[in-house]
Amino acid sequence: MKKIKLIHLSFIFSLFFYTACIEVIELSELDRPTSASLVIEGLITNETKPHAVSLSRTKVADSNSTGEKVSGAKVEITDGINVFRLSEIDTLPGIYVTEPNVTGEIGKTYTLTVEVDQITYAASDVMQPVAPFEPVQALFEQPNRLENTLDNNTDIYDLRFPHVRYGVAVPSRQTLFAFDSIANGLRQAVFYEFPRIDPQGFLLNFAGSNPMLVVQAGTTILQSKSSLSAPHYEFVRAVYSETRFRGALFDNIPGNAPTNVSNGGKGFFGASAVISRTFTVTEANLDVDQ
Amino acid sequence: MLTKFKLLFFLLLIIVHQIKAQDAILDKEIILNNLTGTIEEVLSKLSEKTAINFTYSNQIETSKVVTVKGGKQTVKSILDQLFTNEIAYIVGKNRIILSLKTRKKKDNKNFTVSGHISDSTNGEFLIGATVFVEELSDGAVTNLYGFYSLTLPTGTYTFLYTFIGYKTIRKKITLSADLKVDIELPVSSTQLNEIEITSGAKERNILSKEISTHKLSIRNIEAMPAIGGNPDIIKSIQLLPGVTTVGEGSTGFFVRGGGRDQNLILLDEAPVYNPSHLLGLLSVFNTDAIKDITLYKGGIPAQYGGRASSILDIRMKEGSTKKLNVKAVLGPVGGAKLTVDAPIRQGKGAFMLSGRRTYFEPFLWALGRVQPTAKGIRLSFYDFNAKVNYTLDDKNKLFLSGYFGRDINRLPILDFDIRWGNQTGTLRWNHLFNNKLFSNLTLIYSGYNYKLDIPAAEIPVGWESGIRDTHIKYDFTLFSNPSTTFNFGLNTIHHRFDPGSNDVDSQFDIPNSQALEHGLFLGIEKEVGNSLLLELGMRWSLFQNVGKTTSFRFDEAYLPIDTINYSAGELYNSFNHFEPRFSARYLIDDKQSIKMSYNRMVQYLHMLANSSLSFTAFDVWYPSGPNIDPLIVDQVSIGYFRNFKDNQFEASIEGYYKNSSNQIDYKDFAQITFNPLLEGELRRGKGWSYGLEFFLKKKAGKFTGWFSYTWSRAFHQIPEINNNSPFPALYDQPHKIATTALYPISKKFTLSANWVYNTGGAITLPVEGYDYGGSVIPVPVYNSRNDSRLPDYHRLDLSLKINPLKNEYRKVKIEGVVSVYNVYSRLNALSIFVGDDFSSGSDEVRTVVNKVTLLPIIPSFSLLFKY
Repeated sequence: MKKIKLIHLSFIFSLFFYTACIEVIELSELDRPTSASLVIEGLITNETKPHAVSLSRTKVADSNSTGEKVSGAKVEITDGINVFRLSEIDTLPGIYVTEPNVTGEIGKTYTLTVEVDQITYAASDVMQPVAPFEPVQALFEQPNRLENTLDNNTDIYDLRFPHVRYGVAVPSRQTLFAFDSIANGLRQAVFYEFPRIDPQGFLLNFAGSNPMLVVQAGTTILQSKSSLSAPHYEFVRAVYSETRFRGALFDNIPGNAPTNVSNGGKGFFGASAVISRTFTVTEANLDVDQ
Repeated sequence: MLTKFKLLFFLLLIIVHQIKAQDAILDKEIILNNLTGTIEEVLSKLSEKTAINFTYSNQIETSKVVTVKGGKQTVKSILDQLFTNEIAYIVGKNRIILSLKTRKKKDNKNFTVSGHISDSTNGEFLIGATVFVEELSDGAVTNLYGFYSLTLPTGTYTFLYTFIGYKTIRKKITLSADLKVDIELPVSSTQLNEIEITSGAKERNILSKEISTHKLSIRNIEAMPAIGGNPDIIKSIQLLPGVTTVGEGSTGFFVRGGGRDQNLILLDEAPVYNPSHLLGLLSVFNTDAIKDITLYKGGIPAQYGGRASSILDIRMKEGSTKKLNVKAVLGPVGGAKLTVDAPIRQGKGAFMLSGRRTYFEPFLWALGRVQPTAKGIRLSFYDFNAKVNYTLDDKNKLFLSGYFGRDINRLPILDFDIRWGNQTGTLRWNHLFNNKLFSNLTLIYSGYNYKLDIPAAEIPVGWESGIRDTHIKYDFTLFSNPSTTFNFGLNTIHHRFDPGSNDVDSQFDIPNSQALEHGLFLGIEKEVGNSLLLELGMRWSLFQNVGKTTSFRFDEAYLPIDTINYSAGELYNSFNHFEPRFSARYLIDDKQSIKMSYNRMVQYLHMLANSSLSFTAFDVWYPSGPNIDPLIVDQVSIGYFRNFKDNQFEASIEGYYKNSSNQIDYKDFAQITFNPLLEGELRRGKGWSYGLEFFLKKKAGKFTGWFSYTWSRAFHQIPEINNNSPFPALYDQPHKIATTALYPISKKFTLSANWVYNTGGAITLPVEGYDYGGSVIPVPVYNSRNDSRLPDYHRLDLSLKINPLKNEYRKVKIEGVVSVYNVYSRLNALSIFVGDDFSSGSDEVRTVVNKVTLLPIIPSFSLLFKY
């Protein structure tokens, strides 16, 4: 996948009789102490399940290691009436979960509070309703791509999704699961839907492979769709701009992703309504002129 | 802040010191015995005693017998005894020029000599040619239409008609009535040896009032090395002091800390909104169709308005009134060019047609055959320039010119298709009311639009944006007397803004709107004595927003609180501003002068482009209005100009300070396209910039060229951005060196070279990062905007022009140009960012620091055919 994306870039320039080049460099400026600020990643939904919050610390900008996990924090979520305490999972430091019977409600404001090292951080979000699913057949049509990539096999297809589908009425996050008969395991594809259109999200959005499922007639797909509040959407859009789309020719001016975490914390705590469905891929779904 | 004032003060100190040194000659004390003789004899004696040379015209009476008292006295007091106060003393190094202070005697009639100066080979009018009256040490310069006018007392004068690259014509004229004298200057055979930035008399840079102004000749631009051997006006402009660019291979440029949209680029007076071909690799200006280029960085005359930082005034060729000329060029990047110009009706007029087109298609087709992902790619541009002029009679002349160009970039693999183009048209009527009053009535059309198609959207979508102007201008030049010229006029522009619409859902459209922009201007150029030349100017501008449109109101958090619909033709908002202009030149002697200027510029149009690079595909032109105040820029410049070695060398040092209010910037992650509420994405603050520019040019001799060094800084301070703290502008590049050189190895071969160096551009690098959403690439955290630097930029370009020796019998002349861009293939950084490792072909995502570079060494060969 990466090779194809690099070819895209070189096409643009080689056709002008010159070639763009990207090289890895060492930059000592980035090798400096970090602030070790608290980073919150968490979500409450309208599903009845344990809702998780991850706590970590900021790290060196070009580090390939994960940020230090934060253990021993006091973590709570409240809707103004009920208070849900979160407990740290013994085997997963820095991951805190609610009891399994917690269910969020659309329209309510949820506030997460984290107490760690005698500092209290708070983050709030409102759970917005989620837009209904589009017809199943739409998943097999543009801008998604259905490609038969295996030699001498016309039954198995790669179903690729763009990182972001633009132009929807309200933002959302979609997650799809399907059994991959080639890899003999479960495969997950995640993509976002954003209102309006960000050109830099289309052009040379070459960071990382596109989300993909391997499907054939009879494959069962589990699809879920989560709502995003306006601040949550702004946060995800900024994160994508800074990670997935950084480095393209039409880059945005760099900026810090907005946060709803107080006290100098980073990240986002969101509240999402979720809908799900399961369906089986049919021959008709795959009979699409791409 | 304090440092920049210190520097300006230091510059002033140097200049004052120079003046004082020159005045000391007049204050020099000598001891004389009583002396009786003619003035000529006394001056000769004085010269012997003091080693001062005296120069004077034959209009000064020197045969009169005078007596000078003996004793210790200054040179000035002796001269005062010789002459009554109608003589001015101009002091040079060991030299005093005696000049008639008043040229007009009450009992003497004045007459006007006027006319046009043109090129004898093709009849094209010469802009900025000099008419010099030897006896008066005074003269005039032709205007943009090659016209001059001088009013002088009755008498016989020696007129010198000069223009660099042309032979000087000396003409004795007895003035006893108004005269029309048209001059055709023959081209000098030594022209190829001369690099010119300013043009006119040898000391033009010293004598003129112009400061912060550069004139470039097409001949020199064509001699410079260029990408793919394709000479380019904008790339040449980028070599001048005070001009910077962001991103290699871009036509965007920044003048003295002003933004990319703060440059008014005029082609025959019509604004060109996007000067880019091939995403900025080339500019839209075809050098074969261009005659004259002037860049004003400061000291901007009152007739110009509408942009805050600079004016790039480009004039098209008019065509030969003498003979048919055909020129064809084949180049790898610029495509194929064909230019034809010829006379109309026995020299009553002329036309010029010039077109060019790339021819990548066969190569792309072949590429598509071997690489399926390249199938369907289209990268091309074409443009066409045309101009026709016709002389109705001695007092009336018509000009009609236009430009049309289009770029087509289709990359199916990226679901990306963008096309853009500019269109301009200018109809001008030159009218001479009399030999002192010159006028131009001009109708101008200018349009720019682009269309971006993105089939990968959930619903395939197209995005269009553009601007169209219709403009009427009436301007006058009154050559009142040799020391006073008035420029005045008025203009009205109707702007139509189509900031953005899509063909799927109108809720993402940015409302269209219209505006009227009016200007009234007056400039007075006045010589005061022999040393001081002043230009006082005033421009009054009025900007009116006009419906039909929808306007939004925002609260303090920039959230929309109201929507107002205005009907067609309804005026709903207006601004008006006075824009004073002032320039002065003080002549220290005939080899050095100091100049200063102040100008206020008001800009009502804004180009919104939330990109960290200067590619121009997504620019949105947007008017000032209820939510966006006009940008106001004040600039002060001061400069010291000096020539050496009989004017072979020109040197100047200029300092400037610029202050801007209502400087626009964008909130983080602003959405400029597909957003009807884009005004809510903008933030307003202030900006300031300052700098020193040193310029040295060798303009004669076998080896010619120039060297420039610029030290400059540019800052912005915008509420809500960078924690409200000042930050360097994206184009802040403290040090810049640019050199260009031309050396004719033989009659057949001419070698030229450019070398440029500048501090790396300002960038924002993360100070730390964090994990989120399972992404391997950390989310960056930034501290301060633009607080880091790209590596320094430098590049050497070489070019060898091969001119086969002239063959009288061969009608077609063939020339070749071998050029090498970026000779030592330095991979200058276009950007640096932290992200996935794009240099590896691996699927594994790995976080690294990536450096993006664009243009390595590019050798090329071009062929030129002339008939």
